[in-house]
Amino acid sequence: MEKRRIKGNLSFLGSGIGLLILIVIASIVTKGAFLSFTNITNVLRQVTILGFASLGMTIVILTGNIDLSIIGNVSMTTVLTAVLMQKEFPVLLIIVIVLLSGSLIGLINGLILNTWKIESFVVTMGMQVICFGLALLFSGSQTVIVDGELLMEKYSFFKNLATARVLGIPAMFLILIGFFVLFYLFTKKTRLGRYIYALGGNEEVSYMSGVNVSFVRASAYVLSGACAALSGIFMYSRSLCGDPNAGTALGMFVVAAVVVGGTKMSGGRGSVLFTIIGMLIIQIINNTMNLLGAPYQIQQVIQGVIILVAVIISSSKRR
Amino acid sequence: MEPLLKVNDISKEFPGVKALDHISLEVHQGEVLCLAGENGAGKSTLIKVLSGIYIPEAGEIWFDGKLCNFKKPQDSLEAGISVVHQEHKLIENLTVAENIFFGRFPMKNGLVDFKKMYADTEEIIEKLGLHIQARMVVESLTSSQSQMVEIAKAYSRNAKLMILDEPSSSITDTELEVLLALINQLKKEGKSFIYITHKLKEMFVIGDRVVVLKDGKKSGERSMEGLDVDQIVAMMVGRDIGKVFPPKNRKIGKEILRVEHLANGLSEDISFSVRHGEIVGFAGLVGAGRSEIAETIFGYRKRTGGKIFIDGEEVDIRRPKDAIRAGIGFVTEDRKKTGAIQNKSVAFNITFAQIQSIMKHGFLSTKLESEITNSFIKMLKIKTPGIHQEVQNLSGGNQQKVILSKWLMTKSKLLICDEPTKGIDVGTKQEFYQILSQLAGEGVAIMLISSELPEIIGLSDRVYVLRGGSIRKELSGDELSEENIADYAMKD
Repeated sequence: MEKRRIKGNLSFLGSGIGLLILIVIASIVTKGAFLSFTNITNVLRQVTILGFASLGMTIVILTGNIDLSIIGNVSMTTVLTAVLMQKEFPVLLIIVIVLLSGSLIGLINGLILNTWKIESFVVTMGMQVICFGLALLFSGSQTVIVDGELLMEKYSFFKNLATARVLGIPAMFLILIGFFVLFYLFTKKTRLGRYIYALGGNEEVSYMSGVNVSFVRASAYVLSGACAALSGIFMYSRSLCGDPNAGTALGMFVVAAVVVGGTKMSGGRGSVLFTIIGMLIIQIINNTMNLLGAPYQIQQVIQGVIILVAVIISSSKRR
Repeated sequence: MEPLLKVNDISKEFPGVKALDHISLEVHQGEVLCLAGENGAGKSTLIKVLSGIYIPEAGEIWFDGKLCNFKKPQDSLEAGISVVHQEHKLIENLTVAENIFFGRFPMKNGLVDFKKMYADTEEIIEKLGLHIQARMVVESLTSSQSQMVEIAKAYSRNAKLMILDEPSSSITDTELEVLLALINQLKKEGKSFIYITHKLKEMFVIGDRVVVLKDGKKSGERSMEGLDVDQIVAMMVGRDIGKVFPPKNRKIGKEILRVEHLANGLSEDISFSVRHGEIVGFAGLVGAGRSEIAETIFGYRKRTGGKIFIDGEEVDIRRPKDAIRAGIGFVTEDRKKTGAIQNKSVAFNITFAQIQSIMKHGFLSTKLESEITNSFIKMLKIKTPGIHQEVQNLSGGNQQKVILSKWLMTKSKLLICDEPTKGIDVGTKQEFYQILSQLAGEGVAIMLISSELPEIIGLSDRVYVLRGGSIRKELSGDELSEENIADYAMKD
């Protein structure tokens, strides 16, 4: 067995064991409420929204960049979904338009970063603000509610997306896992996937080895934008309204899910599979605090601590 | 007389490696002790123990008559030991004076007394006879000048022992002479030195004694007098390496590369050619424009004029991708920055520029990847625990072999090697010479940029000597001598 393999498996194993311990703790402190069928289902649905956002974030973090525009993008696309329904667009067209809009945001991020040497967090932070602004603009600054009858008939697809189950498991969660597997194969088994890791490892070497680094970077951001749009669509399905502030709830959890999983912020190291564990850890902690009825203020503090701890674990010491 | 430094039976262990195994040595006042050994022999570990970065498990260090117990670099510095590192540790955006006095600025009324600081610095510079000014910003200095600043810094701290870690690896031969003169001057003042180098010839010029390390053990300790290169090498590797350079009886084919009037901002009019199976050396001082020409041909640096022909056909190379497609490979000077992705595996790096070769049905094949990687590991004798080992855990020489494999995998017809043996131990260097010579024998054309004259002369069929951004002379056959090259590289 070789060092890297063992090390890689260890960090994966580490977060996996962490997840199991967390589930045990959650079950004990909630006196079993955590393990109820309703609650588990709830967690799996909730995590789908976070999951898609974190999936995109993982790709971008692997390239050594970050995408803070994701949460704004989720808001924008969830509002867009609702608005297009109000305008009675066909279901398929809505999905296509929303996916394209989300990807476009990513493309713009990528193009800016390809043209100018700016830290990605600055660019995507600006884009986040733009997206939140667009969400307000599209929604007229209020939550967009689609007429009940319309929703029941023409748009039952969006309604069912959140409620459908396969063998008792929420379909949306299964779709998420499907995407994770797809992205795993993409990052590990295709040339572009390898370039994504390489870009995070060393951009100069990538360029010197004949890689079109601009294309790789833009692709990562487009994928991230598309994932944000998927997250936005599921956000709508779950809440059945287009809330322009929906994305704020995700906040830093998107980054935290990636980092808790074991993917390094410095780029080039980690895996989308790690993020499955990371997002579950984050979601279960949030869920447990809700079950315990912890005051909102305390929840905020604890969530902040978790994010800090996650980033600390993922970083090397200064000396 | 009591020695200045007395290292007694020091041992230091890392998981799985005995980095230092009962090492003892002495350095006397006014003495230059050379430290030799292949990469991984324990030289760096020993320096780190002496400079307080590592704490040894066993043994004691006596310095200046006192038993020392260095816990951190500060302790060693205060005792009077200064290290001039291979990669300079100066603060680039500060001036020479600020660097020399960093951490102990002269103060006046609670403010830094810049006037005194600059005056004191000028005094030191003058005393040491350096060609720099106190107010120069360090980033504007050459590698050699930065090194001088480090020595000045150590001097100003009143260091009794200076440890120079491969001081000659990033400077030219002329600059080296200046350095060696300075060491001799300081020696007369009673300063002592530990001098680490891969270049054995230097040891004879500057060293009083040599200690040779091998696999963490001391394999020899001799006075330099009456010693010859072969004896040192034998102590280092435990075998006689015989003739270092392979014979040049290769068959040289027709022209593969022709460069006409190439311009890149630094050079204005560069024309030369390379033929199949030929090793062409590019000699000159650091800054003569050799690396820049290579970068321009490879499309890494912007070409502002001129034409490039490959096998007689003009090629428009605008980026590395174009060069790779034209059959060019480039082993760059800086393996960390532009050579290998340090946190990726051996397999990842070797196959990286030619991923299509390990694709099967549109997906990467782990099987093909490991087969191909293993074949290169075997062919170039890459020492690695496995194909998934991260490149950063390999020694410099093995990293270099990984990079070379990458360009062999793209089936480069023309291989540009920029300082391919920089910082590599003698044994691996020799392996490299064999490999390059063998590749040329198979018809690969090689552009060899090197600051080591023996290497250039020993390997090249022809040599272009550059100075100040232009080709001054083409040498071949019997004209190839160190004196000739040095003449054209340095004199106007």
